[in-house]
Amino acid sequence: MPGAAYTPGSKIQIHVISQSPHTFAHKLWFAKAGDTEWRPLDEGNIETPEREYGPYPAGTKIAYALLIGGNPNTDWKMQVMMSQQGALLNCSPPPETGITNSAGVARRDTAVALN
Amino acid sequence: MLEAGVQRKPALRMAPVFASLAFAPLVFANRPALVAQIAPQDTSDTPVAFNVPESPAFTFLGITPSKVTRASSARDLGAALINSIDSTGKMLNGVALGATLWTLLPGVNVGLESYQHDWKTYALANAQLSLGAVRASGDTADTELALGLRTTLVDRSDPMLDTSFVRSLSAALTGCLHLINQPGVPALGPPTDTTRPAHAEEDPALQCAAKANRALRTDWFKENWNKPSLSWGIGLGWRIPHSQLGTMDAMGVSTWVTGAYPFGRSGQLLGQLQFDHRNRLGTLDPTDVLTYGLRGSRGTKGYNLFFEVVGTERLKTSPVSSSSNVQWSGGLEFQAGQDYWLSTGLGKRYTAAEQPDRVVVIANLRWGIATKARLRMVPKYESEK
Repeated sequence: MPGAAYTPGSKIQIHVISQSPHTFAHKLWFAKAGDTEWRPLDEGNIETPEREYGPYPAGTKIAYALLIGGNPNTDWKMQVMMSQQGALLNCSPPPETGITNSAGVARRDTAVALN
Repeated sequence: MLEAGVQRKPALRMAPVFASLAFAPLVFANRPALVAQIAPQDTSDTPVAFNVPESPAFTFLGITPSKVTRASSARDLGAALINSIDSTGKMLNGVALGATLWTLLPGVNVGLESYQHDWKTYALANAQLSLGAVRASGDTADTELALGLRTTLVDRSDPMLDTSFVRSLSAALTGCLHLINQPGVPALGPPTDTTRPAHAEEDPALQCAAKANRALRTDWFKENWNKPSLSWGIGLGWRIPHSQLGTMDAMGVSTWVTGAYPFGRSGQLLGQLQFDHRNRLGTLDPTDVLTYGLRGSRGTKGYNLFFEVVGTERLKTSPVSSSSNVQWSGGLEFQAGQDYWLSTGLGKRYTAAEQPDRVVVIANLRWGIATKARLRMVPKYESEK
């Protein structure tokens, strides 16, 4: 489903949601065009509500690491929702999916460009 | 996606009902779905294993796949099914496929909150599909195909149902975040989305999370391992003549129900019912077999005991075979001193336990003497360690 186009002058809202019987903690970074290193942005977990960041110029990249926990060897699904003024962005990543390992944990790192 | 390493076990209809009971592992198995939604190897060697098979399709066919392909989306499943048919429309043998049902349904999510509060969501989250195909036994080009479904309807020994446990785990995961200094994706490069799973073995954050989850689960299970649970499974089978898709002869159906209930703080009652129906096959008559079992066990630091009754009722049977069979088993052991355990009992389940170091007769009873407990029923969660 197509979302809204990114508006560089506006703040961005990020909310991480668990769509499976798993909990998680997450960490966020950003890198503006030309940056060679990621800069820390925030961290949280399943209890963290939607938060606002930015504004960032077009081409800025947002990276996140998800640390997922639940029952061993089970299918997990998480979604990092990126929106502006309540509208999900076109560049918002699709749901992340995977299977927890035998200890019941998983990690997923992803970067998206705000465009 | 296909895995040819599929071995066939003796078909249930041909096996003596208690033939392999003596080799059954002495474990509690009240929550199999959560420990392994698709186990690559089914462990139900006996008609009464006190758990619903992880993959009813494989159990129906009597096979133990060495590898199960796991589909995590409808697309994966479609690809796997297409790959299980050759260019001439023949079903390939050696297919072993498993999937979590909800991941195949577009747009369906099973969030943690509804998982904790809605039994229907819980059952959906734990519903597992299995599909297996194997060459029919004997001198034939036929294929036997089975489809299975299993789910856990209730399981109070699932820590993810406990909001306090989840809160603790969330805090522990948050505590592991400091070990992630940079995301595992490059900051430079084209402005496209990139996703990269971490390398599990070398990732300190993942190791930290694993250690925390294991520790929290171990503590939680100490208090909750024997809570009530109820699971159900079904397997349906077809025979495909000459492996050519188009004609399928129904082979029968097998269904299992398993329940668990606490027996004090350190005991558990387990019950299981299985109904197996097989259609007429060649010269073999149709069969209807009801298998049942009830097991009670209790264990503390100083003593362990168990009792068990298992039986079968052949509802359709030939005049030469027995229509029912019931067997009792029980055992008791106690610690008589440090590294010194005395045990006695009867029945196949008792004799299947590890042999004692010595056997003596006291008061007309045979007592086993061992340096460690032999009859302790190991809760299944301990296998997570």
